[in-house]
Amino acid sequence: METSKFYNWVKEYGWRHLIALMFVTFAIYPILFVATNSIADFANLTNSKLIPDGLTLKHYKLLSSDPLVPYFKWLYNTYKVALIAAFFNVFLGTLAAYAFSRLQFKGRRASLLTLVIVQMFPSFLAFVAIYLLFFQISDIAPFMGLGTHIGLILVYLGGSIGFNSWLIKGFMDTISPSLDEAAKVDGATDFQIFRRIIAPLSRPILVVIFVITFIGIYSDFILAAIFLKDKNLWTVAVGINTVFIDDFNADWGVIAASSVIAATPIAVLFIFFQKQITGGLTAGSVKG
Amino acid sequence: MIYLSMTLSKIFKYTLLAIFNALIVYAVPLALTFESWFFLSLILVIGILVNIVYFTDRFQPMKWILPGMIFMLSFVVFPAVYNTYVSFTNWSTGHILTKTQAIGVLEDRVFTPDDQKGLEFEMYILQDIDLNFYYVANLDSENILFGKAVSDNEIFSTSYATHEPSLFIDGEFSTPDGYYQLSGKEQIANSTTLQELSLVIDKNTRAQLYKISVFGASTGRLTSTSQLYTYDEMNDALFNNATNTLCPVVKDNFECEGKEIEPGWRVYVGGENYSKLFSSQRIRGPLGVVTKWTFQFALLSVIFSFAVGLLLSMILNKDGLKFQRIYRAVFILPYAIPAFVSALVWKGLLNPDYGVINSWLGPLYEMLDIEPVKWLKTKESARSAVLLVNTWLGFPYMFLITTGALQSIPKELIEAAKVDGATGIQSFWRITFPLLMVSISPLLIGSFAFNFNNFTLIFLLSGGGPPIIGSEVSVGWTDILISFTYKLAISGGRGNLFGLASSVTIIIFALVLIISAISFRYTKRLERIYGNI
Amino acid sequence: MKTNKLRFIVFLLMFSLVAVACGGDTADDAAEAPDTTEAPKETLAAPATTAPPPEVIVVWAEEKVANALDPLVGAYEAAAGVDVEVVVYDFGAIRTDVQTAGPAGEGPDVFLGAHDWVGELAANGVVSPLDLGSVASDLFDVGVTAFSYGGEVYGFPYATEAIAMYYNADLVDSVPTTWEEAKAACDAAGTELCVGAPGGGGGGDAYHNHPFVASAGGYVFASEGGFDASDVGLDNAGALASAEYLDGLVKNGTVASTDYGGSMTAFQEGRSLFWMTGPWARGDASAVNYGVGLIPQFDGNAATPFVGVRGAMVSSFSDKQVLAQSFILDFFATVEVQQAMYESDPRLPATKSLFAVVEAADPVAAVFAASAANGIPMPNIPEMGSVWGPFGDALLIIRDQNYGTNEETGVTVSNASDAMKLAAEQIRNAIAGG
Repeated sequence: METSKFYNWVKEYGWRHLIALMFVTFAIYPILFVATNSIADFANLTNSKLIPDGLTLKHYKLLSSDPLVPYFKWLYNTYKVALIAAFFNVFLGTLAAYAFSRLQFKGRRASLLTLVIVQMFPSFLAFVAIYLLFFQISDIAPFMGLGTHIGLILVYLGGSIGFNSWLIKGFMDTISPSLDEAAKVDGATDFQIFRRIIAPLSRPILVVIFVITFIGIYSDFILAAIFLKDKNLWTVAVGINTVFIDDFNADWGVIAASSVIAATPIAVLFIFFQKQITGGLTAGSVKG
Repeated sequence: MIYLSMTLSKIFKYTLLAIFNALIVYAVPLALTFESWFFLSLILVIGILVNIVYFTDRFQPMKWILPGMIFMLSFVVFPAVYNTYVSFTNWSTGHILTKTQAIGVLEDRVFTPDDQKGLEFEMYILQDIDLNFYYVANLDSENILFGKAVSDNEIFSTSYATHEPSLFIDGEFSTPDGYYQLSGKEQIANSTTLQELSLVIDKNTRAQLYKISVFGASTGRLTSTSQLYTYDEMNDALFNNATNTLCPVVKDNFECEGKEIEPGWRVYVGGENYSKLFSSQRIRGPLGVVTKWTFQFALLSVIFSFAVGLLLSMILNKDGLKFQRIYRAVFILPYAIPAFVSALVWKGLLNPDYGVINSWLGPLYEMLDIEPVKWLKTKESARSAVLLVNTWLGFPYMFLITTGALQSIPKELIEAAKVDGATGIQSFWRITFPLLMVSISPLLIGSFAFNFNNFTLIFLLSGGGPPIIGSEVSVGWTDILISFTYKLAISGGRGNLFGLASSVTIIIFALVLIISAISFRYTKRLERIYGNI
Repeated sequence: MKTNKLRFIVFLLMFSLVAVACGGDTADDAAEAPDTTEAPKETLAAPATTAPPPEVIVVWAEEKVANALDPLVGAYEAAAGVDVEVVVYDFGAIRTDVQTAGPAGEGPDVFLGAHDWVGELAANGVVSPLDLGSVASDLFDVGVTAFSYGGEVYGFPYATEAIAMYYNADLVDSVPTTWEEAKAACDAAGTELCVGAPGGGGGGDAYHNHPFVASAGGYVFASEGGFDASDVGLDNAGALASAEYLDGLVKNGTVASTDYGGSMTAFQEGRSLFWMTGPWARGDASAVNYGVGLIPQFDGNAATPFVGVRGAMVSSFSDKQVLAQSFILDFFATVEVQQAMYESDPRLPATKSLFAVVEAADPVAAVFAASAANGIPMPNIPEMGSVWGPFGDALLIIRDQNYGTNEETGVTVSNASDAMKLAAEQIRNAIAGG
């Protein structure tokens, strides 16, 4: 009895744990390395030991108390910009996705494809172009020009449709059309259908898109570095790159400590978001 | 009466539109005053689109798409158009300015005789009751020159400065009656005026204020009365006043006696950059190797990270599995570390001599009695390493996407298949996977396109290396097209070749376009088979 | 139908309303800036009290220097009646942004950068010549040479740097004068590696490797009276002999195959006796008890490292040229400012007055300065962009002993000389623009 119970467990769950654990190692090892380096006296990327010789909290202390490194301001900026930009990204992407999923029009597929393909343009000079554009915007509307969070958020919205819309549309397609047809019969407008039925039912994919966009913005430093010139407005990635990475040298202890601090909320948030991603669809209002 | 038919939402809509139009109308004249042409054309396009779409019923779907599209137009399409424009210019080091700007810079050059370079003398700035400026230049005790400071257009009509030894009493400067001597601070307040003025010493020489000192006496310099270059609009040429030669325009520079004058300016060069791409042996030579690897890299990166991501989401997609949440959080972690940090961390881990990877694999090497892998030093190891790291960076995204997409596959279908006697694996390949591909495949194509141009990873991890021995240009085994372009652009003989690099990106885009078109055709077939559209 | 008509009316109405509402604003914007001239009174009278808005000097500087400047500019602001706005910039971004922002009318007046940008910036017309005048006498020649391009000087040098050799002071007393003695010292100390130098281990680095090819007559560009891009000397007899000598040092284990991180770790963990790098690494080196000496000689010739120089430059798109020059020559060049910057970012002083202060207090800095005195500035001409790749690749092949044949082109690189010849050829081709 015992063995067969164990056998069943292995067959149902055990092998899953085994594979999962293998990949946990793969996923987490470099991160452990970052974590231990954040408390190493002489943090170093090519350290041959996982556990360093001298342990210290000096890197965390530097981040939290050095007046020249307003790290928590940077962290706040990062989360602020990324949260707002990700929210509007999802919002705009969802609007477009609704049209592609629910409205009948000619060239529907072709236009969606065009949006997706345009997004793939590898512009070598994108930054130069955006820079020039925002110079001009700065003259006219300084509150959203270079050096402002609003301007930066606007730029991040450039990626709101395209892949995002495609993914959301794919999900919306699986929501049974009978639901909105019924609503239409009751006299609901498109916007009401969108707001009351389609958008809420798409929540899992919206959360996924939100997370992806959030993380993309959070780790971006090229655009942010071009935009934000005031030290107090920097994001974490810009601050770390500007202050702690030189030509040959990088202060790995500080970079590691900063990565740990900045990544922790994401990991925690993700644990909470999980229900949204995986648990939202059991209600049965889905086609099938 | 008609107003009654307007619902609240309509009022809301029109208010929004009114505000929008007000902003546009407000911004257009401003853009005109500031000569902000990029911005002006953009807001005009956007303004027209918005009004057409929201004031007519003709373009119903556009009402939903346009908000996102405005941003795409501004920050994706506009840079792409700009990039295309640059690809038809000679934009490169020495040619980044417009012709007007270049002439401006050249006309600002003064011409200081060599024996006067580095010489400086004290200068005092005076002002009379009518606010005219006067300079006193203390060249030496024989030449204490005083006179009115004049601008360039008065320079030949004014009288020369006079020797006024009486201005110094016991070596100390004393301000003459009727004048006010400006302090350093006041000189600075007037510096933009003063920098245009000179004290004319003789026909060929003038003294100009060079350094305002707030701690001591300001200093001046002697220069020629004429600027070094004068632009001759009639002949479209530059006149060199020092040598009295006319320097004609040769394509994108002025040339004085066969020597190019820097800076030059941007010109339209037509398809020159494109023909250079196909004719230059330097570029063509390594292009084959690089293109092939770019395809392999992008394709394998997508396959590996998708495979890992899908495997993990399938494994965790099981009710009652313990630690599910923790697993999911862990698998998302690589994603939460900024990519530039992870790439560098991996570079350290992979170090063949001190890296953790080789010290882990040490027992394996011993068991198999083989040499330790020289990660990043040889072609194969570098390519494997790049793929390994990219898989690590990419699988959390795939994991997230597939986890989300798996939710949209009705469990009933799989249950039904099970009832029909299909095994887990069979139902996966027959139902789950094809349905998944319908919604996921465009993202795989997108991910392919992203990796096709994944400059950051290559640049940070391997720098494109190890070098391909004996190639015509510096290029490495892990260089992909975009990093090769970058190398070409920054090592373009005389500096950066932005025009050429832009033309390569157009070609890369064309490639991506073709591949995507083919792939989308394929996914369309997929969709037709499995329904949904 | 009727709603369409309504829409049109609303549209027109709004349009005219906003046009009227906004009409007034635009006229205001065209107003001229107030005149800055002050009215004088009688002889020696005090100036008028209605002060115009102060001029603003915008300075772009990297983090550490900006931190040093920030508390000091107050004194200048007070004395000069200007606002000095120090903008913290990523060092590398200054180079690119000056070229984008300047022509667009948004650039700095003064920016701090590296001397090897000068050729590119001057060719692009974004930097103004800066006649150093009397402050030149306080500067070391290498700094002024570094900022010279096409017969003009383009910046005021404030810091130099060059690599030298760190040694583990617990295991050895000094850096020997020859490479043979260095090898012997390593054998005696019994360390796993001897000399850790960046530029191997898969990470090409022409900068750190320069002494290995340039100490016996090799050179990147001939440097008599300005760098000459048509004369590449990486495959002359001296360069080939040095490269072969390096090949021998790699083969007998004197020079380890390490990249920057690898050489650092090895030194920190006591696994290498020497580490060849610059003054910026002093913090990292302090993991062990270290000393610094000159890089061993090559066949009796002193090692010639690349010298990097940093300086303050004036943007040619600044409309306050005299003010910008004054800021640099009258304030930035003073020893107090120089010393504050040195303390914030200890590179080697470029001024004699500061060096006098530093030399006595910091013998290690003096060693780096001596090493720099043997070196040459990195070429500052734009053609240098074509050098880093091929030069670094060639040295990487030698350092990693990665000789072989290219299957595609059939070219074989079987020894150090081949590698250098190939690099020189690649550079010449690139400059010819083929």
